[in-house]
Amino acid sequence: MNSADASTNEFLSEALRSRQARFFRASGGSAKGRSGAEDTARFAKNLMLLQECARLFGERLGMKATTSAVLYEREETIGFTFDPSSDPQDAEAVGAIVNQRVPMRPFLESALSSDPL
Amino acid sequence: MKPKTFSGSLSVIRNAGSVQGLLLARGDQILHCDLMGGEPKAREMTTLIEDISVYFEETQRNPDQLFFEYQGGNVLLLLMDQYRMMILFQSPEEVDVIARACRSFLKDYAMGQFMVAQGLHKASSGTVRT
Repeated sequence: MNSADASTNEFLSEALRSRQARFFRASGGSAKGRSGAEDTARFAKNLMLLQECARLFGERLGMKATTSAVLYEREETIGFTFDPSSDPQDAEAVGAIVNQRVPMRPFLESALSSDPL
Repeated sequence: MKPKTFSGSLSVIRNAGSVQGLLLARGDQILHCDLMGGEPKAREMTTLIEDISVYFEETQRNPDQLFFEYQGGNVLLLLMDQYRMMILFQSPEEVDVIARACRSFLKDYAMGQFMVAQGLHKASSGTVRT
């Protein structure tokens, strides 16, 4: 394990221990975060899942573009919101995972104001 | 839960804040629908929610609350055992309040249905049949 891997594992372990959110940023098919490749891939997978569910509901309900999505699963909150300051042609999604159930609205606001890198 | 309590509780949720529509189902059985588009839309949404629930089961996922925010509207979906509740509302700021109210209703309703199924429901006089 190199020092970068060790420090990201330490970051993830500390975030899990203290039940702090891990923040991520995604655009153009790639995602970035400080909690390691595995955790970032997990966020990306959930981002795709939420986007697909949002698309299915949106189509049937006549909704316009998705701006945010969140899910609770057991004792975990996962979600994203599109950064309104990013390029609309290549919108950046900012999101988070936290190992506790937190209110959805503040959760999204914290993701938006975070600096994941 | 008595029918009057059932409809009264749903009416309170339906009339709260910016709520615009509500769907309650048990599997593919529609228990209550107050959506634009009526019964056909309720059937369409119930089928979609069932499809998504099956997908989650097959992938060993178990989310119980999902929120989707769109430009111009919001969708909250609660999944509790075989019960599904979908709420459409206008103001995203209300999501946590609406979710709390709906989860509380759903818990009470599911517990009531369980007790009825088990024959544990109290008689309306307040006495328990023995």
